[in-house]
Amino acid sequence: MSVLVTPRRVRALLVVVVGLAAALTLAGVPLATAQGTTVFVARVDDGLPVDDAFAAAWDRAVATDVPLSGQAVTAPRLLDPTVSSVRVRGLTDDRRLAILIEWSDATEDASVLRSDAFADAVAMQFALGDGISICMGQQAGAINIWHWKADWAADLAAWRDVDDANPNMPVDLPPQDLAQRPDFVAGREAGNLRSASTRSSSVEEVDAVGFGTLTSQPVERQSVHGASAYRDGTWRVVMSRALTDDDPNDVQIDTARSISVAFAVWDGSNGDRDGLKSTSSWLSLGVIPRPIGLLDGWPFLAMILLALGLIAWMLYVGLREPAIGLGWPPGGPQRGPERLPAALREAGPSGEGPASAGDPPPRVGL
Amino acid sequence: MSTGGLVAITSRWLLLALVLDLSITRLSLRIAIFLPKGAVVADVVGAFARVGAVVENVLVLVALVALGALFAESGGRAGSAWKAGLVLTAGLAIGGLLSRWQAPSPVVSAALGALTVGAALLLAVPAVRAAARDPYAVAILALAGAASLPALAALGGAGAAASGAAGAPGLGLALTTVGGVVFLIGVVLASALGVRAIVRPGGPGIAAVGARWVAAGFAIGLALGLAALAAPQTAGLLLIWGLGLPSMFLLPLYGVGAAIAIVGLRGAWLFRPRLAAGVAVVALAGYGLASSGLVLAGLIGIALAAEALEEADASPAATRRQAALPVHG
Repeated sequence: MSVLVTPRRVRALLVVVVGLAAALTLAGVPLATAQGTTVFVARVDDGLPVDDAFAAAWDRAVATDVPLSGQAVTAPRLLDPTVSSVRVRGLTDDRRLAILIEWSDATEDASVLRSDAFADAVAMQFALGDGISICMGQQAGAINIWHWKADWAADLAAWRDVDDANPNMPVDLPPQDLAQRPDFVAGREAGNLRSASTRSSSVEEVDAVGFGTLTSQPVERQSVHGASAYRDGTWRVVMSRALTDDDPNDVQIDTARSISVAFAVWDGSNGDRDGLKSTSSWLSLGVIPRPIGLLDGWPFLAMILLALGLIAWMLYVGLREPAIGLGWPPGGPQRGPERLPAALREAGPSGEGPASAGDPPPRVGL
Repeated sequence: MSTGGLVAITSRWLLLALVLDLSITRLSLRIAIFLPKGAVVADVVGAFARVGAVVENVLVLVALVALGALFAESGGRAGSAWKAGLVLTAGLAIGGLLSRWQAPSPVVSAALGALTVGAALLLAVPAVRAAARDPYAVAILALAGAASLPALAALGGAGAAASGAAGAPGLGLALTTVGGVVFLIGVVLASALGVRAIVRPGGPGIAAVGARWVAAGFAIGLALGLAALAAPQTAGLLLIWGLGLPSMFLLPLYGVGAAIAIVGLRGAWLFRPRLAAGVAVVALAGYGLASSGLVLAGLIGIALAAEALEEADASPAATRRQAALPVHG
C-alpha cells in the first residue's frame, strides 16, 4: 500500500512526535534506556569470600573488563591513564555484596610515610539516584564512594608510623603538648581518619556532591570491609558491605534494580593521588536474578518474540496483499506519476486534485 | 508524496534530532561539567538538561517513525535478509522500550545484544552483494561491523553470565576497541568517496557542495583541531562522551576527519542522498554509546545506506528480485 503523505499530515506528525516527547518527558518517562556495560553480580550460597581475594569462589563470577582513561576534567589532571583497565567481579549471598577488583601494577606501593611516597588505591563510586554526574556528583545528586587504600591495608597487617620511615626525625611540638600528650597528633584530634592510630578496615567510605566536596563518613558510619592481596604484579582487592543499611548517605542495593557504578585506580609509584587517577565511565551493576538460567527474564523474551512475530507477519502480509499491507507496486516506489496507483494519480502531487502540467514534481528528497 | 517521501522526511528529522542530541546532551551539557556553576549558570544548565531530555525522547520517536516508513517502503526494494534485519531492528526498539521495566538480567542483555548483532549483519547483506561493484559498500560493511562488535562483546559477557561461566577475559575490551577503529574507517571511507565524487575529473567540483557546507566543515574541523591542541584532555573526553570514540589517533586528526565528513557526506548527498543520509545518521549516532535511542538510530542509518546500495543495483539478480515481486492490483 502506498501511504499518501501530504504536507499537512507531515506537519501533524511532527507536532504529534514533539508533543508526545514533551509530554513523556514531563511525566518522567524517558524512552531511551542505557544498555551499557553491566557488571553482573552472581549469587553464592556457601559463603562470600570477603577476606580472600584469590578464593576459588571468585571464578564463579563473570569477569567484566572496564576500560579506564585519565582524569582530565579538573586539576590536578592525569594526561594518560597509568592503569588502562580493571577487571571486576561481583558476588552476593543476598545479605552482603562483595566486589573484587583486579588490575596489573608493576610495583606494590603501600606506604605514605615519606612526603614523596604515595600508595596504590582503588575506589568504586555509586550514584545515589538518577542523572548524577560522574565527576564526583553534583548538588542534589550525591555519590557514595568505597575507597580502598594499600597503606591502610598495610596498617592493618602491621601498624607503622612516620617515625618508622624516619627514625631520627625531630619532633617540633609545643612543650606543653609534649609534656602532657606525647602522642598528640593534630589530625587525629580533628577526627581525620587518615591520622587515626588504629584502623578497622582498609576501606574508607566517603561521600561527595561535586569537585572539592569529598567528605569522610564518621568513623561510626564506616561500614565497608576490605581485603586485598598483591601477587605477581597484580592487585586483587575485595570490598564488601551489607546490601542495605540505615545510613541515608550509603548506597542501598536493591537486587531487583541496577545501580550506576564507576571505578578509579591510583598507581602510587607514578605519583597518583587525589585527582591524578585513572577512571571509568558509569557502568551498571546488577544482581543476576535467581535462578540463573536461560528462562530467566522470560516475560521480556516472550514480549520480544511476540513483537518480532507480529512484525514479520505484517511484512509478509504487506508484500502479498498490498491493498491492505505495505508493499510497493512493481518497479519500486514512485518513479513518476505513471507508476503511481490510480488513486494517487488522481490525488495529484498535493493530494488535492489530479496532476497537471503546471504542478511541481513530487519532492522525493532522499 | 508517498512513503518514499516519508522516509526522506523522517531521515531528515532523524538527522536533525541527532544533531540536537549531540550538541545539547552530548556536548553542551558535558562541557558544562567543566564550568563553575553559580545560580544563573546552574539554572541555564538545568534548562538545557530538560530540553536535552525532550530531544532524547523526540529522537526515539522519530527513529520509530523512520523505522515504520522503511517498513512501509520495503516491499519493492531490498532482499529478504535486509527486511529480516529491519524486523530485528524493530524487535530491538521494542526491547529497548521494555527494558525500562525489566530488572537487569544476563538474558535480557544477551537478547538485546543478539538482536543488535543480527540486525546489523542482516541489514548489511545488500552491502555484501554490492561490495565488488560499489566502494560505498565497503564503508557500509565497516559501519555494520562496528555496530555489531560492541554488541557482540556485550552478548559474550551476558551469555557467560547466563550460563554461569566466567567468560573470556579481555575479549570484550578487544572487540570494543577494534570496533572503534572500524567505525572510523567506515565514516572516513564514505566521506572520502563523497569528496572524490565531487572533485574527480568531470565532476561538479567543490563549489557544488555549497559555500555554507564547506564553511561549516572548515569551521567545525578547525574548532575541533584547535580544541584538541589547546586542551587535549578535555577534547579527548568530549570525543568519548559525544561520539564514543577513544583517542586512538592524534586528536587534531579528528578535526580533519570531521571536516572531511561534513564536506564529503554533503557531496555524496548530491549523488546518492539516501546513502549519504544513512552514513550521516550512523556517524552522528556515534560508536558504542549506551543509549538505546542512539543504537536504534545507528541501525536505521545502516538500513538506509544499505538499501540505497540495493536501489542502485542493476545486476541480473536484483532485476530478478524486482521481477519476482507480485503484480499489484
